[in-house]
Order: sequence, then C-alpha cells, then structure tokens
Amino acid sequence: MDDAWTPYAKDAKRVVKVLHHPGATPLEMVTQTATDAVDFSPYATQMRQSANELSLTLTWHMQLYGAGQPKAGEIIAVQLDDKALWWGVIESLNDYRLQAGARTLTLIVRSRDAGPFWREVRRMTDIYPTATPLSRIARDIALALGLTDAEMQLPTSSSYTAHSNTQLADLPAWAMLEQLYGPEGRAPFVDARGRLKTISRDCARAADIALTEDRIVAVTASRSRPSVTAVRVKWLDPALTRVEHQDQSLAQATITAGFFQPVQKQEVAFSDDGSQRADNTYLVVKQSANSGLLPVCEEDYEQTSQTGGRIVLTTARWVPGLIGSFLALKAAAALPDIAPPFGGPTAPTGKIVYGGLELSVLLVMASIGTGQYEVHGTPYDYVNGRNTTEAYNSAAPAWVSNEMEIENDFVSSEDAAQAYAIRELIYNARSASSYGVSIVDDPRIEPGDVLQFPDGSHLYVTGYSRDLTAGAPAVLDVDGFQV
Amino acid sequence: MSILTYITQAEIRDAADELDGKILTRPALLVTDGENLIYAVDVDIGQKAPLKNVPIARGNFDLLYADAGNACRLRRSASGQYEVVGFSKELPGTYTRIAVDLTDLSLGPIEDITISARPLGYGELADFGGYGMVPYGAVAIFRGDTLLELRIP
Repeated sequence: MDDAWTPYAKDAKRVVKVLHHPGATPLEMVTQTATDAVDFSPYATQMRQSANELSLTLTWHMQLYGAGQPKAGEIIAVQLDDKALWWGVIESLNDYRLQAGARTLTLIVRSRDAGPFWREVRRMTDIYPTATPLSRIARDIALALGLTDAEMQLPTSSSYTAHSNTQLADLPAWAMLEQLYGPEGRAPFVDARGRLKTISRDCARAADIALTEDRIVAVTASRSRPSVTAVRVKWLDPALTRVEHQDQSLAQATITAGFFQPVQKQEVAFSDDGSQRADNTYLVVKQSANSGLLPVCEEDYEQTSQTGGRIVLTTARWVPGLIGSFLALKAAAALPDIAPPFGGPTAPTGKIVYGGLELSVLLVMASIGTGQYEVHGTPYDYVNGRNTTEAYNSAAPAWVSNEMEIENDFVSSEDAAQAYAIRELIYNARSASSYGVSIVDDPRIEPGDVLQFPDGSHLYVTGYSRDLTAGAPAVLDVDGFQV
Repeated sequence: MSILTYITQAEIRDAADELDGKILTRPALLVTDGENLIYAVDVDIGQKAPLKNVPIARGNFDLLYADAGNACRLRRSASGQYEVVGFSKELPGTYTRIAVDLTDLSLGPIEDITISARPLGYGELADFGGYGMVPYGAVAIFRGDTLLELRIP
C-alpha cells in the first residue's frame, strides 16, 4: 500500500498529465529530478494504466514528427493531480496510423522490471559464506541491476544463508530475488514510482484497506484454472547426513619382523589418496608373522586418525637378548679346554659352551617372520539431504490432484519449510478463482494488498488497472482472489 | 537375461536424465544365467514410493559395497530405464506432510513419511521376527516409523 496517496471521492475529477522524458534516467525519475519533460497530455486520446503497464494512444497533426516522436527505451510518466503516479519505459510502438488530417500511434510502456535485463539475462552472484543476511544478497543483486539505494526499499531480512559457499548462478535477477524472499513469504515488486521493494504473499493477514459499501461499483468472479491441491517444498538440509559402506577391507600390509628390529611400525591409509574416512576399524591377520617355527612378535593395530591407522609388530622380549648372546659367545671363545692331568681325552669345555651359545644365536636369528595384514572397517562420508515438506488440501479428492513443486535452498529449517509450503498452498489454491472488483479510484492500492469488503470477506490484490482517458470516471478495476 | 526398471510413476518430473537417490537395500545378485551377473538395489528418489530392483552399473566395486542409506546417482536412458551409476553428494532427506483445511485454514497433524533403511541391531532382530528367523545383517525399510519390509541377506 502506498501511503503517499489518499483515495478519491466518488465522481471526483482527476487531472491527468502524461509526460515524455526523452533523456531522463530511471534514477532521476525515482528522485523526481528529471528536467526534460515534454507534455504529451494534449495528444493522449486513450490511456489505460496498470501496475506494470501503460497503454497510451497519441493523436496529433504535425507536432510529433521527427525528433519529437517517442522511441523505445525512452521514459513516459503519468501524473495525477500534479503528483507523480507512475512511470515506465517505452517497450514498443505497436500501432502507427496515418489518416487524413490526423496521425495516431499506440505506445506500450512497461515498468522498469519488465524488460529482459531484469527477467531474462542470466547472472551469477558473488559467493557468500554461512550466516550472510539474505537482504545483503538481494541488495547486491539490485546493485548489479544498476540500482542505487535511493531506488530500493528492500526490507531487512531475518533470514541468513544456512550453507557454506552460497552462490546463485544461471538465473535472471528476478528469479534470484524470488528465491531469496520466497521462504519469508514475500515477492519482489517494483512500485509505481520505480522503487524495488517486496510484497507479502501471506493471504491470511489482516486487511490493509477496508472498503465501505459506497466505494464498490461492481464485483465479478470466475474460476480460471484448476486449483492446486498440494505444494511440495524441496530444500537442502543444512545438517549433513552420515552415509556408510558395508564393512570391507580398507588397507593391506606385508611386514617382516625379527631380531633385527625390536618394533616394526607401518602406517596405513584407508584409501590410495588418503582421503577416505572410516570407523570401527580392526586388524585382520591373513598370515601371521608368528606362523613360522617360533613366535617372534606381538601384532597390534590402532586407528590414529579418521583416514588411517598403524600396524605395530613388537618383537618378543627375548630376541633383544641376542646382543648379549653375541658377547657371551665371544667370552665363551676364551674358555680353555681342560686336559686331564693323568691322561685321557681332553674335555673341550670352551667348545661345548661356545657351541651351545652359537646354537642359541642361530635359533634367534632364524626367528624371522613375515605377516600379511588387512585393516577392515566401515567407510563413511557426509552428504546433504534434500528434504521434502508437503502441504496438501485435506478435502481434495484424489481425482482432482494438482501438485506443485518448489525448490528453494534458502529454507533453513523444517519449521520454515512447513510455513512456506502452507503459505504457498493457500496462495495458489485460492488464486485459482479470480475475483474482479471495480471501486472508486484509490491510488494507494498496489499488488500484494489485502482489501476488506463490507461483508467481512477479503480480497488479495494481484493487479489493477485504471482508465486515465480524459473524461473517464475515477474508477479502479482491481484483480485478485478471495482469501 | 536382463532386467529393466521402468519408471511407472508419473511424478518423475521433467524427464530428468539424472537423479539423486538413497540406497535402501544392500546390493544383491538379482539374476544370473551363469554368464550375466546383475546386482540391483532398491532406491528412494524422494517420492512416496521407492524404485525397486534398480540395476547397478557394471565394474563399480565400491557400489557393490554400498550400505543401506548411502547416497547414489541414477542415470535414466532415453527409454526410461534407470541404473545406479555412482555415488552422490546429495540424497533424499526427510519427507513430512501437513494437511491444510482451506476452508478455515486450520492445520492437521504433521505426518512423517520419510523412507529410510538401515541394518537392524541385535535388539531389533528380536523385535522384527526373533533370533534365528531374522539373521544378523537384515536390512529394514521404514516409512516414517512403520516397517515396510525386511531384506534378509
């Protein structure tokens, strides 16, 4: 609702002026500082204005030939009682007639957001981190459209980006704004003065304007399309979901243990590139290093990180005694043989002791084992869940089913998704039956307003139009649906 | 011998060539004639009912070890047959429904119809059939809290 206006009285006279701005910029139109206006009012023979379009027929004799003739891309403004009502950009000159004594042309003028620059040119935004206000992204999109802060009336958003690295890509600016404001129940809108703002899609709210009986001229109603019976909102859950594989072999190792090293350690990764994470890992001994003649070591495993572990073979304690055996061997070599003083064979004491020690050394050195090991476990990863929240008309029978799906990753929680789905179901189900009402002209009304009728019923405004031809009654035709 | 999974659900929207899904059953050898081995899984694609017996692309060792609940990528051929071709970074999450009375805008109860699958724990084996009847490794598929089926390995 535009509070800058007051409603007209019944049968009031409106003073309408049409101005052609051949060189003004949109910013000058918004700030009302354009100085190049050419008054077209004397030539305007038919004029009808809606929220986003003006159809203007000009009739002239010689005045609008040459440089004075309006061209596509120039601006046409409408004033009501010397007050700026609406302005737009000439889209086309679609009916040009030369007849004896008079020339006519019809211009189609559209609001600034109707062109391909807003609606069709695909864009990319910057990348935004978690907890960026959505209104900040909306402002950046508006700036990319060439708007200044004076041309924006965007509300401060209470919503924030829920995901890391949010970037909107391959979408027209208008679609980006719809994505950003949709979960909050708002839609982008360019008002009659050319300012970008938002309108509410909440049909259940209190009325903005209450109409009295004397202001209503006529009411019409029709059912224009099948009603939507269910709305599904699909949204990316900010919380990640853990997914697992079946228990499987993650790494293999072949390790030799023996006298030559007290402890053997081997690091293993759960994938070739070392990136696979796993849980509940354990050692599977395919062939033990102790499967030879003598047990030589203890076999252990521990997980040291999310992506790897360590296999440890600890050689038996007696094996390090090998060094002592070497020394004893050397000492034994010095033991003398004992020759009996009264004859007989010499007792080779040193040889016997030496041989015993040598046997123990050789046994220890023979204690080498090679084991084959596998690490098993449950690989896991984290993925995003795309949740579905559906609001459906509980009274609709199956054979009239008409479902609608919305994908929006700016929904931050299940509660927000439910509110979004319910709001869109009500909006889309109700808007299937359109209502038209003609009332005494009220320039305050704009799309998104809720009007209240004398019987207490409400109408959500989706559009309006008014005949501004000289002498036309001050009547506003409002389109909408009953809520 | 071959199997084909045809999409009979009208809600497969936009004739999408690829979809993200959630594996509901451990890959199992579905059919063989001695030459051709076809492993298949049931896959939730975020609709009210899962796809059944979707073949797994050949030669993908990792896919054969996917557990119930894993995120997978499905590719659809021009004739409407799906196969699991790999893992995905996204899967169907929760699915909730709310009834709305459009006359007075009152809301009904919130219903959870999320399709989920997981291997049963020891305690649950007894709950869902008893020890011996349901072996360890059985996978249960639920819609919300309701058990839809048990897959015995």
